[in-house]
Amino acid sequence: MPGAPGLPRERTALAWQRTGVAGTVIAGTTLVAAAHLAGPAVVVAAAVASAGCAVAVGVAARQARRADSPWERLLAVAAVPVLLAVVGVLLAAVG
Amino acid sequence: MPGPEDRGPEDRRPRSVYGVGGEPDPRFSMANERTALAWVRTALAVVAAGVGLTTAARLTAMPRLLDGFAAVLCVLGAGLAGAAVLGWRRRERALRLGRPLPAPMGLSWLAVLLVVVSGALAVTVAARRP
Repeated sequence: MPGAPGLPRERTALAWQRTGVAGTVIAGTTLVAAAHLAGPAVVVAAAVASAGCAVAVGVAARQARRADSPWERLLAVAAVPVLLAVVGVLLAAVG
Repeated sequence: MPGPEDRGPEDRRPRSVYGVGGEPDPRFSMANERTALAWVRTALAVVAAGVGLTTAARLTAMPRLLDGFAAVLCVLGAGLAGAAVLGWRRRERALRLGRPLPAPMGLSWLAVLLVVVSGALAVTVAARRP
């Protein structure tokens, strides 16, 4: 929504930032938990998922400057909890 | 390569949303976007709770049981992320078509599921205490 004026646009940009920061922090924490709790296979899976989260947050940030629809950004950030949920289920399964 | 300024309204994706109705007030669209992001953050919190629970399970005498609850929380979080995207799509369509906004069904389901999971967890832990 590049042409939208004022505070709503700023609030929306901040909401994207909060979501990106939360996703990045939780992805890092999940990777640390996997490294301490699980074997190499799950650690590799967690590393791949964390890298996927970083890419998703990057895609969302990049799209913010040029997109006229939030669709692709929403799909990208929604992929973050899904990726981390897969790691969480793996951690629970191998526990 | 054409930039966004070169694209017409017919190029906006998804077409199932932007192919119907008229352009709503941008403030409403941005409020819808923020609502979807709030759902994604809720999904992240639920997944983080699941990962935290599976970590704490190693410190207890009933790790398999807690791992089961952790897996349920992770699956619930993943489902919430999907619901966030679908909810954005439903609300944006309603805005464009000038229809009433759909009821936030996910909110009541989330509350019920969290109460059930946390209640079951509390009862199980209390019952197994020596």
